[in-house]
Amino acid sequence: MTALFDATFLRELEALHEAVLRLRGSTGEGLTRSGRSAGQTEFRGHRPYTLGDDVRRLDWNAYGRLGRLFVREFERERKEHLTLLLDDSRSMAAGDPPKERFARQVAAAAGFLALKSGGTTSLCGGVLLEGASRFARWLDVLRAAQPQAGSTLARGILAAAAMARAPSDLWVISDFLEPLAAIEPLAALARRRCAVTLVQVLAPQELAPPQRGTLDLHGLEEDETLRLELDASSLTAYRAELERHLEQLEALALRHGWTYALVQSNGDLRSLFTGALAAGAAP
Amino acid sequence: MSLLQPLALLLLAALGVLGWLAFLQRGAIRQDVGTLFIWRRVAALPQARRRKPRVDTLLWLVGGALLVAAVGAARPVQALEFAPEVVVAVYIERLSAPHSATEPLLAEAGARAEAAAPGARLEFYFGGRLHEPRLPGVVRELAPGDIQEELAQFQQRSAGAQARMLLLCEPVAAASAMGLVLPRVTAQRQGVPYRLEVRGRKVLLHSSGMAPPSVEGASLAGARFSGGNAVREYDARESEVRIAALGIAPLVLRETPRRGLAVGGQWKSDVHRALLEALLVNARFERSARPELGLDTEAPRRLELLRGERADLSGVEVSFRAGHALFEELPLSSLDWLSGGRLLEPSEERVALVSALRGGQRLGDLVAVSLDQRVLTFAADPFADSHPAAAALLLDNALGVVLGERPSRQAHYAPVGELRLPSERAALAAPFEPGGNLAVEENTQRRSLELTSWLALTAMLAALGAAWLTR
Repeated sequence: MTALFDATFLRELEALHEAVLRLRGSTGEGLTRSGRSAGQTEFRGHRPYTLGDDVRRLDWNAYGRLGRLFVREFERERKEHLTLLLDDSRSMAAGDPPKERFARQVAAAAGFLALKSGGTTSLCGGVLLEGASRFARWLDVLRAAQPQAGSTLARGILAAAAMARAPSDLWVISDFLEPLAAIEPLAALARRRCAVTLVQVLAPQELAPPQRGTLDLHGLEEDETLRLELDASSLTAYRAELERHLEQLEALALRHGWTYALVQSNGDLRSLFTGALAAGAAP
Repeated sequence: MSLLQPLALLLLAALGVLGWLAFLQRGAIRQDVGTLFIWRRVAALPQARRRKPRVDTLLWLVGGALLVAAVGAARPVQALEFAPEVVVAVYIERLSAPHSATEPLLAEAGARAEAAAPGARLEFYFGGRLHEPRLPGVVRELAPGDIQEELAQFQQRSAGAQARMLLLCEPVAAASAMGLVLPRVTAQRQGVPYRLEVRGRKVLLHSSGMAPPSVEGASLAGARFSGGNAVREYDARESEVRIAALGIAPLVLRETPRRGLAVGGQWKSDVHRALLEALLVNARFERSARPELGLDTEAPRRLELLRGERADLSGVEVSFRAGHALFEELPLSSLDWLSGGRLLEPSEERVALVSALRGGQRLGDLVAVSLDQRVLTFAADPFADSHPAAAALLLDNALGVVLGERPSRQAHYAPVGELRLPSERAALAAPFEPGGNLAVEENTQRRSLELTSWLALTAMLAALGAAWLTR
C-alpha cells in the first residue's frame, strides 16, 4: 500500500482545491455551512497614531477633517474553525482498503481546504492549526491519529459536545456502525451554531460481504467472535439490516439539519467534495 | 463393472478433493470485521440459526452425487441374466410312454431349465403331444421316436436358438456337443416297467429297480435282476391279468380268442394225428365248422398236401428259397422232401419255396405258397415221411407262414387296447453329472441391466438438491 499522504495525494488535493473554488464561484455560496467568510474583520473605532503603527491603517479622511492622525482599529479576525472528529475506534481498521486510511485522507482534504481559505482546523481536542503553511503539521497530526483499542465514537462525540467553545463546523468521520443513540449528543452542538457534517466511511466488504460458509466473525472493535452461517439467505438479511441502519442514520441527520454523506473506503475524494458534500458542507 | 474406468477415476478423485476441502474447511473460517453491530442483528434472525445443519447436508449431497456418479461411470450391470431376446431351446426327454398325453416331473424339469438359463426365453421341444403342459415357455412337438431320432429333430428345428439345453434320462454322447446336458430326473427311477412279453401263458415284465409291480391274475414264477433291471416272469392263471406299476397306466392282459381249425383230406395218418394233438394242446385252436385254418381242407388259410404229380426225381437236387419263414430254425437235413416222388407244376400264382433241379434246370416245385401267403401247397407229404420231431417243427413253421405267427410263439394273452410303456431309457433314468455348456452364441449378450442411467439420475437429483440448498 502506498504512503498515506504521498505526492500523488497532495497533487490530488491541489486539484480538489481548484475544483471546490470553481464550484463556489459558480454557485456564489459561502465557503462554509456557517455562512461567514473566513478572514473577514469588523471595524471597532479609531485611536491616535503612534510610532510604529501600520501607515496603511491611517484614516486619511479623519486627518482631512480633524488635522490629526488616527489609526483605524478593527476587531480581531473571526476565522472559520473546522473541527474534525475522526473515529479512532478499532472498527475503522477493517476493510480493504482500511476505512481509517480513507477517513484520514478525507480529514486531510477537509483541513487542507479550511487552511487554504484562511480558516483554522483541528482534531477534536487537538492543536488548532491556522494558515496553509501549517498543512504539513496537519498531516502529521493525522498520521498520528491511528485507531486505538478501547476507543469509541460515542466517547469522542461526548467529548466534542462538551467543548467549551463550539467550532463553526464539526465533521464526524466514522463508519457509524453502532447504535444511533451515541450520535444524538451532536444535537447540542448544533444548537450552538455549529454546522455538523457526518461522513460515513464503509468498506466495500461491509456493503457486500463476499464470504460464505461457516464463519467466525471477529469484531475488531468488540474483540469478540460471532459464529454465523453465511449463505444467500443470511446475506440478504445482512444487507437489509445494514440498509435499515443507514436509512435511520440519514433520517437522524435530516431531522437535525446535519449534512450526511456515505462513501466507500475505496472511494474518490473529488467526487465526495464536489458531490455529496458540495451542497454546503465543504469548508 | 470396474472403477478403473477413466471417468470413474476422475469422479473419485473429485470426491477425494471434496473430502480434502471439507477437511480443510472443517469448522468455521475466521473473518475479521470492523464491528459485530449489524451481524448480531442478523444472527438474531431465525433463518440464520436454521441454516446451520444444511451445511452438512450440502456436503453429503455433493459427496453423494460424486460417489454415485463414480459408481455409475463404472458401468455397473445387473449381470447373470440373459437378455430377453436370448432364446434357449430345451429338449426334454420323455419319462412317459410315447404318445402319452401326460408326463411326470415336467414342471420340475421346466423349473430347472429356467434356473439354468435365467431371463432367457425358453422354447421346449418334446417328443409327441402333451395335454396342457405346464412349462415356462412355448412347447414344440417333435415326432416321437428313439432318442437319436428326436435329438436329430431337435437339433434341426432349434437351429434358430442361441443356446440349447437337453434334459436327458441318460447321457448321450452327441448331446454334449449340442449344449448343456442336464439329468432329466433328480432321483433314480424305481419300478417303472418298460417292456412286456407274453409267451404262451407266460408274462415277462421288464422294469427298473427292485420295486415290484402289483399283478393280479398271474403268479410270480421267477425273477432276475441285472444292472438295475428286473425281469419278472408270471404264469397267467385267470382270463385277465392286471398289472399296476409306477409311471404307467394300469395294464390289462386278456386271453386271446381261439382260432377255428378244420382237418381233412390226407391229414389222417398216425403221425398227422399226433401232430394235431400236440398242436391243439399247446396252441389256441379249436375245431370249428367255419375254420380260419384248414389242414388239407378248404379254409381261408390252409395247408395242402400231395398236390403234385408223379415224377422221376432221381438225381435231382433240392433248392430252397433262402431266408423264408418256412425254414426258420428248421433242420432241413432231417426232412425228406423227395420221398413222395411228386412235383408241382410251376405257376404264376404261387411262389416256389422248395424246387427240384436237374442239371441246373428246374423240373418243378416241391413246396409253394400263394402270392397272398395264405395257402401253402406241398407236392408230397413231408410231415408223414419225416422224423416226427422235424415234422412238428415244419408244421409249426408252415402254420406260421399262413397265420403270420408260429403256434409255438402264439401269445395266449394280449393287452387290452394299445400297450403304452415308457422307453427303457425313461424307466432307467437316473441323475448324472451335467455335461456340455450353455454356449450362447457370440452375437448375443447376457442382459446387462445398465444401472448407469439410474445412478446418473440419482447423482443429478443430489446435485440439484445441493444447488437448492445453496440458493
